[in-house]
Amino acid sequence: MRDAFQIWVDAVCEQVRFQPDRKAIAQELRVHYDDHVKDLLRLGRDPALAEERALEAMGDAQEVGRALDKVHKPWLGWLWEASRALALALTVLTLVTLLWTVGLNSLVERTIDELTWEEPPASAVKAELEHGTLYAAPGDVTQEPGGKATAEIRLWLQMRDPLGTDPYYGIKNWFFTYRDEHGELSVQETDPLTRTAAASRYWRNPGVSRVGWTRHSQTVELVLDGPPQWAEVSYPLSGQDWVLRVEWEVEP
Amino acid sequence: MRLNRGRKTARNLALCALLGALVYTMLGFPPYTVRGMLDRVERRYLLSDLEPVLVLVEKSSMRYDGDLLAHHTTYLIARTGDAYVSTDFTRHGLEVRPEYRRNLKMSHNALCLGLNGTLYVAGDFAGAASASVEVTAQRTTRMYDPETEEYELVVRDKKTFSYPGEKVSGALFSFRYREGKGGMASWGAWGPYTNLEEAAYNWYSTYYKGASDGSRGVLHGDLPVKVTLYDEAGGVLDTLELSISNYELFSYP
Repeated sequence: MRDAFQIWVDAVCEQVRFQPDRKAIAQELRVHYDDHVKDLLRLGRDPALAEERALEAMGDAQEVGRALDKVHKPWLGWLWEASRALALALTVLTLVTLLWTVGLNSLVERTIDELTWEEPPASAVKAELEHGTLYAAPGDVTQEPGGKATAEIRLWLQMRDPLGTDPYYGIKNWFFTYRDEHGELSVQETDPLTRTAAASRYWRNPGVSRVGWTRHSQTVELVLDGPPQWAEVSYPLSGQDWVLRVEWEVEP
Repeated sequence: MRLNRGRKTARNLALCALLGALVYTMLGFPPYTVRGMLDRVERRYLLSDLEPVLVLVEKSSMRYDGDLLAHHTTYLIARTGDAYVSTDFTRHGLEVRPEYRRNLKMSHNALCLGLNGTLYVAGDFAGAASASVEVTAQRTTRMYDPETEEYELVVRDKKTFSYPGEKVSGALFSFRYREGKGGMASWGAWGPYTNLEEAAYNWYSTYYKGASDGSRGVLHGDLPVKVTLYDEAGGVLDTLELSISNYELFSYP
């Protein structure tokens, strides 16, 4: 059987629309009531009278309930609950992403590559693209046996924003065209079907690249029949008309 | 300091925004919309103004080891000017992996894509009323001899498969080449009744000479694709010479 205070508390809580808070409100009110009863008992009041007076002091249940309802607004209560659940879920998701995906590696490696990016030399030629600027400059030349030469073209890409860049590869240059004074270079050394030599002059990616958040750099190697003079990088397949021409210094 | 509920909510939401940004960054800014995917392609391949020509979403029933969630792959054909690209993005949970199934293809003027028994050809087809396609497969076997480290290539008979096209839009024709449910139902795929899907799988082989189990790999080969465009009166408007990888034409059994 409910005592008088419990009836009063129930009447208060009925006024509070945000139901998840009702239990805590009831407990809080119970603490105030018990403290008051104890004070009255210490003053020598009869227990029944002390409870009656303490309950009277708590005030009108409807009025107290409405006041508490104003403080415990349902929209704020639900928003708070939702924010707690969301924060917990995102904390778990962050840990899962850190532990089970490329997340941490990607964050660290890309940040390192971004910070240690070398600016292109002042002599580099550049093309302004919609999402950034592409630079090219001649790199090292290595004489190979049999008169062949490997000439490096260094590429830098400065993106305007980090969104959408590739976390694994920097400059997707697979569809670029490379040509020199002898014509266009083949994209591959061997025929994929026969695995025999497809071309004596070709270009390749040696796999050296830096992939930051907005700054990528990469080296492309041209395998030529002799020492290079110049080479042009272009992207006709995309319909764009830019051409980057790099020139190597010819030894006298 | 004891915060009231409003301030606690604000703190939690700020934390959520921070964690959300962190997760989104760690996942490599995954695109979840077609526009976002095209934007990603533009940035990765230094393109601009890509517009979609074909968007197909496929929910894979396949689960890789340890996977709880299905893979949803979005196949795209898009164009900018005269350049056409085909690519795919696979979503697994919150991750979106570009080119998870296939490498991006790029070509000038027209492009073809084989997917689930249908060949899609994209190009400027505004003036074409109908189209047909011919795909030619040729038995091709490559043998690797580990002793001499040499490859021997043997090519044999050819077969041309013809299909009528269905105009999907002013920039796309589709050609259904799968017969029945497909999925390599027939294993007697060496005779004259071989269909294109079976030929793409069975006619391109690579062997390791001397291998005791005689195991066979499917050789990568590019099959010539000839598209003929017709006007309203049935006259030939134009022909396109394209190619397609045999791997795009079959589904694994």
